[in-house]
Amino acid sequence: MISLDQVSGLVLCRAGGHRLAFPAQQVAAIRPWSGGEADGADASTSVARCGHARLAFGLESGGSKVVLADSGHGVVVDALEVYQDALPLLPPPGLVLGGAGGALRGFVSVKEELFPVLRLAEFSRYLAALGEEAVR
Amino acid sequence: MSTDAPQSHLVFACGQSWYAVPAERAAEVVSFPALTRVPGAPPHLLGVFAHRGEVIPVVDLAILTGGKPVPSKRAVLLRVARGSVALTASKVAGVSSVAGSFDPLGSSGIQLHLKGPARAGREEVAVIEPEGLFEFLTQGG
Repeated sequence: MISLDQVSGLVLCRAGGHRLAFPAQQVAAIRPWSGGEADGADASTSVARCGHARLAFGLESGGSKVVLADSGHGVVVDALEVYQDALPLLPPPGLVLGGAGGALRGFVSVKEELFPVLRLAEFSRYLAALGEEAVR
Repeated sequence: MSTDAPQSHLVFACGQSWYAVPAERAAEVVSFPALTRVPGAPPHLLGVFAHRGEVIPVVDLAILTGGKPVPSKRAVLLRVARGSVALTASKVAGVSSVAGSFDPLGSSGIQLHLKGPARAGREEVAVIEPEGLFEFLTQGG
């Protein structure tokens, strides 16, 4: 029997009807997002470091909250909630290994819904690259 | 041209096209729930679902081969050494013998991993080469 890693503390997010999650220990702050910047952010949190999660699902950018890492990288989402219970981390299938710019760690099942668990800073960088491609 | 003796395959349709996979690679036919999209996934990768503690990716062959999406809640679950993948199926004909040629249907892309022309009963089928298909999908399709 395969023993699964556990993940304790997640920020469960929604973006354009899709689900994603970040390990809570990677989240330094959660701030409102008002159309171009994180409200109350300091100078280290530049707009250029925030990517829109919706882009990863082929949708237009947008959102109302930004999840920020210590590095200042952030991901803009529509809605979120903090989930504190420990959950088994299901490994990603071989087909999506290295997905989302290498940010995908695996999946958790919460109330019978799967959430992809992503490394926050890596996913932010991946989204930033997607955003640059979109404006080219 | 390579022509092999009839082999046992699971035969299924995705839209108007019929496919066959070697029976030993077709683990089961599954009904899947609402899928979870994977961020950054290509359009043919419809999403994933949990099945007996494993996360299974679902691929729409119609999109992969350049066609329109085929709505379906059923899929043929393939298992290869490197993992599993479920291919959406609008009809499942069952296991039958497939005879004919097993040459690639094209020289690049997904066509390299579809072989034929072959027949299963009255249907013309494209025979899927599971390991090659999986490798192709792993590289982003």
